[in-house]
Amino acid sequence: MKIKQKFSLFFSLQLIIMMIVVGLVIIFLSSQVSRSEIIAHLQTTVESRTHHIETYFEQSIERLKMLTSRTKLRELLKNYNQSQGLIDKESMKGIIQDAKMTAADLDQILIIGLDGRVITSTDEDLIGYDFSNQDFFIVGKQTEGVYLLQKPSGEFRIFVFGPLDLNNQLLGVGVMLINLDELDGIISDRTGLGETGEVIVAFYDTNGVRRYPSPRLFESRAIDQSQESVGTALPMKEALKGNHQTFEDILDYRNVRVMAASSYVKIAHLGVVAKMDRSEALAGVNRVGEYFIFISFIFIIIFYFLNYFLSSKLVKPIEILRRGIRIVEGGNLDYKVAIDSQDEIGQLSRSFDQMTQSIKKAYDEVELKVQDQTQQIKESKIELENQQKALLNILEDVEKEKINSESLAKDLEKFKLAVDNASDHIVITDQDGTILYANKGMEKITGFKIKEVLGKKVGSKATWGGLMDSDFYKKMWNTISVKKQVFIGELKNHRKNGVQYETSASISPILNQNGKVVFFVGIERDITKEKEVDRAKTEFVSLASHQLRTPLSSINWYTEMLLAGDAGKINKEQKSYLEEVYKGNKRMVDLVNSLLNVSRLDLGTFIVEPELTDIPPLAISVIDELKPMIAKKQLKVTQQYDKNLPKINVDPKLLRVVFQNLLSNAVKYTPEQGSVVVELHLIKPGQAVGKEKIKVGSLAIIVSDTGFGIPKDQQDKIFVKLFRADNVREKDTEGTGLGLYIVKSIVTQSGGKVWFDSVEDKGTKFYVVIPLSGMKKKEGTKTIG
Amino acid sequence: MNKNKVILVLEDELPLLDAIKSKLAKSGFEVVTARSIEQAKNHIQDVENIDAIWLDHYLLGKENGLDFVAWCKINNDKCDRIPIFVVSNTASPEKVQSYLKFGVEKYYIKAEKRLEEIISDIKSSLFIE
Repeated sequence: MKIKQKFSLFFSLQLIIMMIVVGLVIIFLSSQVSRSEIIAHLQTTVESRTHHIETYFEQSIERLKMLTSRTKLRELLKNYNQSQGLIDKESMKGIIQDAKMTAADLDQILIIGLDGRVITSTDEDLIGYDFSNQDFFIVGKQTEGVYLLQKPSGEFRIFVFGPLDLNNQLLGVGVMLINLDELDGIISDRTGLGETGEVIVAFYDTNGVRRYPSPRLFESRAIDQSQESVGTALPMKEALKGNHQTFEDILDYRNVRVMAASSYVKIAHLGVVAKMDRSEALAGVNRVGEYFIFISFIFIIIFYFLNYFLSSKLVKPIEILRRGIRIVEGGNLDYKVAIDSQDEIGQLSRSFDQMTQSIKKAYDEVELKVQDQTQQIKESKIELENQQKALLNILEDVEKEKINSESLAKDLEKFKLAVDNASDHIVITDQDGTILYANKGMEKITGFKIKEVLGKKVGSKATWGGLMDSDFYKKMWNTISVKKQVFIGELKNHRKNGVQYETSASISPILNQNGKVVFFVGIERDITKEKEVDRAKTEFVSLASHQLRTPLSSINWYTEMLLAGDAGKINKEQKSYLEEVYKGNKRMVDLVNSLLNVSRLDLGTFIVEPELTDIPPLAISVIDELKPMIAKKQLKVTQQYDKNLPKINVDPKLLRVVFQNLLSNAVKYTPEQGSVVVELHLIKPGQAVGKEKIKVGSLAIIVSDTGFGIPKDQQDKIFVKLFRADNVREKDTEGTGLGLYIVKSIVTQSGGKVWFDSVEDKGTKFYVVIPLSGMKKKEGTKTIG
Repeated sequence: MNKNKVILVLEDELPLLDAIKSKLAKSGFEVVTARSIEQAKNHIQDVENIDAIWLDHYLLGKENGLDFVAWCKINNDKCDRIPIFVVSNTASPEKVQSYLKFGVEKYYIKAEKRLEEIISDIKSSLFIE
């Protein structure tokens, strides 16, 4: 059911309920009111009727009295009573007939004698009738009265009677018989009695039976049916008792529920009851009820439709909202319901719109996310495809690899062959040094067969090792097994036949993925011959130096002794000659030293023992050595050393030789009062020294002098062994021509550079650049010095 | 200086030996010479109060100066306290190191040193002692 209908129904129901309640209340109250009103009304009616009847009866009595007080009549009666004269009778008849004419309702007039017999009457029927035992006669002798009685013929008449007396002498009773029309008229005055209301009158007849002479609404004329009907009819009972009572709900003579009020006409002993059928009495109420229901019904229907219409108005926004919701449900998230009103529906619509907005936003976000995700999925898909392609490629490659590895296997064969047949001793051991493989070179060098060494421990006397001291082996083992580095060194081993030989060995550990040693590969080269050659060279040089130096020493000392005068005094000339000899000898010694150095350089047998060396002190000590000559020539020596020069890894002996040669040259070849500048600089990578750009960080040694310089055409030969430029030879300075060769060799060996700028007779500037990484250690047999 | 100091000179080259001997004598030493280790050893045994030894490296015979120093310093309480001055023409640092390790006083290179210098050195070290 729609809201509108619900509303209408709801309110209609409310209305109905209210109406019912109200209706019931109204009905109840009105019935109450009705009843009281009707009772009152009935009461009023009955009283009024009673009064009316009483008045009528009193009027009738007065009429009678008017008759009975007629003197003529009374005289006549008196006469009659005395004489019984006919004329009197006739005259009396005449009077009563006249009197009868005065009123329409006067039916009959009777004059009853003292004996109770009707003396005369207006009508013939009752003359002579004996009413002597009738109440009305008895009472009438005394006083006037009114009774409702039946004539002997059975017709009901109002008997108005009264005494006829003259001078207090009772003469007779006069009776007027009045018909019931007037009474009927009174009784049947049905004003205010509605449909079913009636007044009934009753009296007890002489037999004590109740009689209803009046016309009754529901039955034919009373006179015809004077007998009491079925039922006790309480109201009338009470009425005849003389009680003025009201009855709200009582059964009447018809056994119908009536409302009644009773009254009593005292004069005539008449009971008067005004009654109305209850149904009619309450008919008003019923009608009210009916009207009410009818109106309510109409009202409810109107109300229902009114409600329907009004609730449309109320419901319209809901309808709008509902439609809005439908639209939004349908997918249109931009739609706004936007109901203007401030009431709950308006608020709801606004909340709804907000919700829609949020949903839209969320939806959009989701959209974006979905797009994003879709994109990602696309990308992933592409990636997957690529990976697939890559996999395919890999598979292809694997195929190729398979082919490759087959050829590799063949190559491996070749390598194995190469290793097998290499002249070097190659051995592969496990991590404990147990020999797993040995090549033919091993056989050749050690004299052991491969079979003999497999499974044995390397370095033991059972094989070719074990000759070095344990420290050596410990150090070797530490390097390869603990530090997991390559060990390079020289060992003395022995052949199977016991002959010792020397090797240069390189032992490399092979690590697995976890960094654990799994194999050792040892390659040894028999360097016995080399060593022998080396030793021979060394010995030669040694011996040569010794052999060369011995005679020189001899000359030196003998000359010394001669000059000292140990063999006797010498004259000036002798002294000068001897000094020449001494000088010449000295030169020879220098030459021999240089030659020896050169030969060592050439032979490559010199040792380089680098150590972190502070350079300035080295330079300073060399300058100190030259101090005598510097002082003698009065040379100005300037030292410019960079502060914070780092220590460099160089062999100080070799660097000393470099300084010695450069500085002694500068001092030797600069004339007196000249100047020598010694510079030491730290060079940054990319910095320039002189005209050269130096790539790596280096030490620069610059020795400049204001000396003789080097002639341009001879500059290219300056570093050549034994070369001396002409200009210095002319000047008779001493020199071996080997110094710069030695410098160049040492500097080049150290990875450095040496060059110079020189202008003849102006000066020379020598540059030596040694990289900060310094000299590399070199094993050899001899030092240069 | 009541007595002259005795110095044992080990040198194989005759001319040099003569020059040394002569100069030492002139400087106030008593000189005992040997040209081989064997001779030197004998002198050690025979001569009681050698105050210093002048030792060349290369000598006649198989053994050289180093062997002699070893012999002196290791198991001979006769000469292990005698200061040894090595005067040789071979200058390899290994040799020098070896000699110095054994505890020789000094090592000179013949060709570069004057006799006077060496002798004055010996003198001062002896007198300091």
